[in-house]
Amino acid sequence: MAGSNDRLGITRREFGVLAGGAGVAVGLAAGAPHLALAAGKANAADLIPGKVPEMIVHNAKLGVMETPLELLRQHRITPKEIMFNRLHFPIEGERSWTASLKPVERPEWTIRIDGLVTRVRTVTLADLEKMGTTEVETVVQCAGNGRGFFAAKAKCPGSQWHHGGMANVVFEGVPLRPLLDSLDLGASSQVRYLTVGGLDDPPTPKGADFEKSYHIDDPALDRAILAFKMNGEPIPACHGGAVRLVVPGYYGNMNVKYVTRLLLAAAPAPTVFQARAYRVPLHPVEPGEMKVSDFNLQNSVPTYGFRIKSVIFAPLASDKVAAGPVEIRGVAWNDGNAAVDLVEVSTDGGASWKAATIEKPKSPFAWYHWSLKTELPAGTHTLMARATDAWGRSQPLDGTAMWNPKGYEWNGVDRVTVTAS
Amino acid sequence: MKVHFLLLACVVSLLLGRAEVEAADPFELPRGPGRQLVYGKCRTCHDLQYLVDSAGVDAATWDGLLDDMEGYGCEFDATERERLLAYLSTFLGPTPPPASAAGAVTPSKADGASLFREQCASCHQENGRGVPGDFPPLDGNPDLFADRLLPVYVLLFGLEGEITVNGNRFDGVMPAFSHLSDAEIAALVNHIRSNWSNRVRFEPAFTIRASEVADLREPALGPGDVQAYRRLRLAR
Repeated sequence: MAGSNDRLGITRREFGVLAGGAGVAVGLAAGAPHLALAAGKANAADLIPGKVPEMIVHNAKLGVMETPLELLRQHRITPKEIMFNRLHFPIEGERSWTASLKPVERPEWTIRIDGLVTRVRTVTLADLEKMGTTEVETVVQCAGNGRGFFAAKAKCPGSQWHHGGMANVVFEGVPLRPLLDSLDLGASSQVRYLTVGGLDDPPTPKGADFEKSYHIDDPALDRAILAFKMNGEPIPACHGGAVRLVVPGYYGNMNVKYVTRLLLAAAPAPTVFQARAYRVPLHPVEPGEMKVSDFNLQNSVPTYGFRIKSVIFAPLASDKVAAGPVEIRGVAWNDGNAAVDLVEVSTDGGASWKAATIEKPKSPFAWYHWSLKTELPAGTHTLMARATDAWGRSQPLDGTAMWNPKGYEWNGVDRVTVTAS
Repeated sequence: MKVHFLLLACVVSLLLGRAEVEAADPFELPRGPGRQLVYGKCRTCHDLQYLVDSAGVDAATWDGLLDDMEGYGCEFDATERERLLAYLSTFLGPTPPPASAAGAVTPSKADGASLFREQCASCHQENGRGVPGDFPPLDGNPDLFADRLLPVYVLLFGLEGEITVNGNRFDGVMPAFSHLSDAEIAALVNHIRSNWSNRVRFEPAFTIRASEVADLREPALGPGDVQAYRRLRLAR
């Protein structure tokens, strides 16, 4: 039965009735995002205020969430309210500021450029804002996007993303290489890598900081920018503001968030986030051949440029399809190095294919929108889409052919089953 | 007595009401030996959805994942690693035993010190000093002596929202540890209250009995309720 508390004389049952027994939570109003973390059914809108509740939560404590395709397809430029989110550390405690769609309010944001240089330099956000900027429309995609589809061969551990771990947005920022040149760092000839890191640090003392390293001569750095705006506004906190390195055409983890340090070094960063995580084997492997912890600098490469990919936006399995004329549409993209010039669509499970009309974007890094007008008689149909670019790179009919232990870089031909009636 | 009811009523009316139904961790893992070690070690840096979403992978994959987690800062000794791997590869493996076949789980020895290492140290640290900004200290934490039952509520139902400990602000989420038995929770609270510099403040009157823990499990509260209780009891 109810005991009683010593001090203030309120019995436990009395407290229970007032606080919890009546079903009214005596919660902290301002801490509503935190309530969601412990409450049971994590709601994206409670985790990061402003995100729509329809987001599919993959890890509440980290604010990891995916966009349903039914929402994603409604916008050519993905609004921040529906953009997928993936952070590596808890969005609470010291990092609760990251659980926000608002800009990061740190006016003295400073980036330190250091390493094998003669002169260490600092650049502030205010400095960046005064410099000449470039805008780039680009796909942002998690390396794990599509991981759920690898389970057809063997399940890969981690969040089972479908297609919604991607977005198409516009970043504005200062081009990286010209900035580094202008700083006159006096870099050593021993410099082989640029390591980029920032405020993305773990809560535990033995944890690893989030940093990524790039070969200093990587051509992708030619188009990298230190971005401070997304879709015309300061980059939201959860998406990496105040400053995010954006490398158009590269998987999401390589767009380092919260940038405060650029390091010119002779070797890549030793942190697990560079040395082991976000790496793919040099060639596809069979399940069991390699453990998720077996990755190293010799047997793998980071998740660099996007593998060419296309996704069907309509019709989806959730759509009501009337038998007769139908427009199948979707998007396609690649690493931006060669134009996507063919998207083939099948409505009979791959027996025959027709070329879709492609709308080529101004930016080679953005979504190409494709569509095909065709007929769907009554019945069940498997729709497929397959993109090919000018270099002949295309998608495997069976995406599990590219199976890797962490389930990265899925780019199998998309399949949607619909019933027309 | 009337004053205190009023005080509590004011607290309730001031704060936003929202129905909380779950007190335990939102992810209920299958029962089996080693389950509690998973709760203790695997919620510091992420929640259990990663584990639930990975269910079905084989022992070799879980083995690799444990190595991976060490790289991210998860700490466990060889014995703990064996126990974790056994649990994960069995109950979250390709052929988990049906629930009814799980069998009785022999409760651990309810030794406060080893429970602390297993369940609490990953956040609050072995030395009980926590991590500034992230995990409050337990060594020298006045909360432990301001109210006899508060630590029991915290372990049973978690704690969320902003708190101040010795002038330092924390704004995190402590998950519920209701997976622990009454004896284990009592042993933990008694250990924390009498360890490090806390032993100076400890008095026999603060000793918690297992039966008292049992008494507090129903009705289930939420971490927000515990926060409200804390505020009330500490008059902060």
